[in-house]
Amino acid sequence: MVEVELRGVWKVFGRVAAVRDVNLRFPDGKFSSILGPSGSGKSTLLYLIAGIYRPTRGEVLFDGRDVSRVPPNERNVGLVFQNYALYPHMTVFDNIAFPLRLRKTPRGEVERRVREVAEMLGIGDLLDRYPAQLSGGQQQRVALARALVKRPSVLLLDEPLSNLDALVRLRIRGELKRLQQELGITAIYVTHDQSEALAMSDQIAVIHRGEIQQVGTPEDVYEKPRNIFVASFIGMPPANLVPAEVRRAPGPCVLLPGGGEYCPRGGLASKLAALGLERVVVAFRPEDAILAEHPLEDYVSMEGEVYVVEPLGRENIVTLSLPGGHSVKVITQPVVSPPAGSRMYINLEPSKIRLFDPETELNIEYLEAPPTPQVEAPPPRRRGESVEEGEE
Amino acid sequence: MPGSRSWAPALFLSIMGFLVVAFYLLPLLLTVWASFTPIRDWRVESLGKSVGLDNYRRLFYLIRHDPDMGKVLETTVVFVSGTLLVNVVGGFLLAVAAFLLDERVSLGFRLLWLLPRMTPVAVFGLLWYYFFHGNGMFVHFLQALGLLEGPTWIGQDQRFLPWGAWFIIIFVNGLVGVSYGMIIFYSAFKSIPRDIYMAALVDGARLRDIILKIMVPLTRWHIIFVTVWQLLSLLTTYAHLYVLVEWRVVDKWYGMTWSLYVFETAFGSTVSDQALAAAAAVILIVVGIGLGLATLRIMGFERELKPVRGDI
Amino acid sequence: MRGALSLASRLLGRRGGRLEEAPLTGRGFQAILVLALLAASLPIILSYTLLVELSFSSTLIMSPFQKTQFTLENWRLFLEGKLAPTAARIYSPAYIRSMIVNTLIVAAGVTVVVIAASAPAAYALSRLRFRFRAATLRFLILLHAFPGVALIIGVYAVYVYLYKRLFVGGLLPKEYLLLYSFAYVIVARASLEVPMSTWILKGFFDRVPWEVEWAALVDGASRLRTFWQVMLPLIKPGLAAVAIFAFMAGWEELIYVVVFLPREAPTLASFIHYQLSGGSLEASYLPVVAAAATVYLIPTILFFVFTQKLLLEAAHGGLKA
Ligand SMILES: Nc1ncnc2c1ncn2[C@@H]1O[C@H](COP(=O)(O)OP(=O)(O)OP(=O)(O)O)[C@@H](O)[C@H]1O
Ligand SMILES: [Mg+2]
Repeated sequence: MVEVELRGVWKVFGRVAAVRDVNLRFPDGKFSSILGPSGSGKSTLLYLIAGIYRPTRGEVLFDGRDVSRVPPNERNVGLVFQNYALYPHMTVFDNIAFPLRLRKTPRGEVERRVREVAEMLGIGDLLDRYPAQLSGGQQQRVALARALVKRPSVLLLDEPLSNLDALVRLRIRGELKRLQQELGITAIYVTHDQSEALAMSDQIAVIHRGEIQQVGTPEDVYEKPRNIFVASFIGMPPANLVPAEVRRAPGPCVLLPGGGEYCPRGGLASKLAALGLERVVVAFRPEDAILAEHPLEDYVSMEGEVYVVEPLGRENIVTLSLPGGHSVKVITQPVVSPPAGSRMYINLEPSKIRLFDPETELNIEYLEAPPTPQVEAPPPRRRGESVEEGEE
Repeated sequence: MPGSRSWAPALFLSIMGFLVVAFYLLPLLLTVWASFTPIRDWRVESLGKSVGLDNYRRLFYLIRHDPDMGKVLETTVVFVSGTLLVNVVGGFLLAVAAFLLDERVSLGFRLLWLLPRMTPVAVFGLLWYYFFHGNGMFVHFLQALGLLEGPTWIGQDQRFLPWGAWFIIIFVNGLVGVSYGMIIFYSAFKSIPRDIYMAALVDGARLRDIILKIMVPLTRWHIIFVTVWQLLSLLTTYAHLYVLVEWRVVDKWYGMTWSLYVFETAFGSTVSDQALAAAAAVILIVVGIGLGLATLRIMGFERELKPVRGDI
Repeated sequence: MRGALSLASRLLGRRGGRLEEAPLTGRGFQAILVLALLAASLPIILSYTLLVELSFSSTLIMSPFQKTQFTLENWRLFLEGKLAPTAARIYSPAYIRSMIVNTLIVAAGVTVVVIAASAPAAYALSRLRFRFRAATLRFLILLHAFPGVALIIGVYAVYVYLYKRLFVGGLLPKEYLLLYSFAYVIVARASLEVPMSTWILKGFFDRVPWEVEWAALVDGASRLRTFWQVMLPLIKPGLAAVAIFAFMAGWEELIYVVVFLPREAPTLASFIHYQLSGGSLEASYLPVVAAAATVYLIPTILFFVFTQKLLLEAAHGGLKA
């Protein structure tokens, strides 16, 4: 198995930069995901690792060795395509055997290894069929078997579950993860489905418009989104984003629309103070808010008007509009079903609130505060502001 | 990066490349070259000598003073424009009819009209040899109408020249060429969204309006394409004309277009003057390349040019 | 108005692209159209009928309506090689066989050369990156449109030149002359088909998903192997279409055969041509020629019966409308 690393990788198609300056490390033997919306450059990234594309700039390293110029047939990667790309004119057996035969594997061993991997994936009785005679889930397994049979040093999967129905997807998801752990293989899994990424991965890299937004464990990405994009992309429904003003004195406090006031403590407070932001974007997850008819003690509360209630069975999603026209979603118990037009309080536990710089869109926790100035010095300059504008 | 690295393109293109060089580029050069040499009777040694522009001078002298050459030029103009008209207008009408007809009937007719294109030249020539025979079906038909008496070779008889010969060559080549327009127009009609016809009908359009105001304007690029392409083909084809002339179905000179003249001058049983033929061919080449380039523009070449993906 | 109405019903009946479901309304208009088309098609129908009928006729009939007696005599004469009873030359059954075989050799040879040249070239033009790709594609169209008569002079000059080097110069014994002629006519004739065939096959390659090819390359295959084991099997319909068209082109060829092959080695085309050229009809026996022509038509007819769809689609040539 190998560790895969991308260093300053760019891929430019004509005028489109599909991948921009990506620096990423996929640890050996771990299950890593690349998560991003459609068109964000996920497949391009994967094809760069497979060798189908060559980086316009930067390099791809396998265990520290630069393989940017190595053609795909010499990289020993297994690749499962989004549409499986099985060879329609070959039987399942021949499809799986194809990589082995190309390596001049002895006939007996081909037979043995094909059967072995087919058994492992539960397609042992389909070997005589043609791809067109298989269901989507079966095709997916054949594609996986074809990728695994050559014992690749990296397994690359491009949205392998996206063509399957929900139930099959859940089942294969589990099997895939188990298989990866059993084989101890380095797996890189591309998906636009956050639940897949969160459930399966040891590491998630969120990508948007060709740029890596955040790399971290599922918990990191979920709990501590690095920027507004990650916060709004992850979660079902995604995090609510509400712009708010900052009151500087006495301590920095965020004035939420709908009446609430959030005064962070500790490190965050001093960061906020040091940054000298006048406005922030407040983010909170729909499942972290508690809807009540009154403000709750020790919670930050906003008043809003109920717009619509969507009952989903196990829970309800309540959409409220805040003063200033912003709407937010809150997940509630199914019994909570306030009539449209009624006024309710959205209560937030302070620790669940995230603040973002509206300009850089970065989570304030991740921002580096400028060096603490002398007491009573003029407010510190914000990043990006020019020196001349500093005095007001 | 492109083109610098790999042996693969050269390998894959090698056989085609060889054929193109050996059977297009080299012959083309040789033909142009031969037009400046005194080659006759296939004495290829003469290709080493030069006669400057003599062959062109001879050619233009013939054009000015040889009545047979005048007939060739006249025939070329009439044949090309007449057959072109038949092919484009006829093809369009056939396509309209096929489009309106019930699918099974339409398929039958389309195949029937494709038959001439697929029939070997020799057999097709034979069919019309019978048909336009001095005693053939066509003459019978004219006799039945009281237009003609006794056996007559329409394409040879002085009374009917030159139009008798012209009629036959346009008729025969028209039958071969008309299916091209038919197929292209037919599929163009099929690719017009049905809503457009429906909207026109709802607006009260009649069949004639639909043809003239919808089908013609929406397929005008196809019409232009077929016209230019057929123009090029008609200027350069000669196989059917060759059999009609050689089998004496039509008069030798009123059945001969410029390209057949080139062929007969180079390969004929009586003349074997490759130098003159080459000079005549060069003129054809110039026209051919011009029309070919025009076709390229019209057919929207760039659309067909799918980009290569991957960097392998 | 009826025309418009029936047009409307045709269009309505076509929902979902199921052409067979067109309703039978507007029959009157359809009938008129069919009659008009039949009238226009009459010369075609009559002359093909006449040809086949003549080959089974005891007398020389000039129209399909003429009274005649059914006979297999012409076919017997043809198959026995009694092609032109009045001609000085005595033909034999072997001669007929060799005539058909010659035609087949040319047709099959052209097919092989066309496929061998255009399939790899089409693959490269569809899938590989190289400097003159667009220019090559454009150039192929020009070649296809090129006046063949301008080429054949040069092609024949090369033929004569090589002939002199090989046979007059004594490099090869004379027995190989026929082989040389056949090989030359096959390759020369095939070349005329290569540009368009390459274009058609390129279109088929274009339609194979890139992922399938990448899968093969990632699985460890070289380009050559990918082409051979993965891509070629996937464009079999295209190969079939191109092969059939190449075969038909070789099968029907007259000019090249007359020019390059000696009179002693005729194909069906040049045989018919020699019977009729110079207006020598009276010297030959026309019904027997009709039998030969009917035999000659058989592949065309088979082709029609088995590949209607292919034919109607592929006859587009360059333009995919
Ligand atoms: N060969 C190419 N030429 C030009 N642009 C391309 C090419 N391949 C990809 N792109 C562009 O690069 C961007 C990223 O494409 P990519 O296929 O990597 O997205 P993706 O994240 O895999 O999307 P999806 O989830 O839809 O598969 C897109 O904007 C796409 O249009
Ligand atoms: Mg993708």
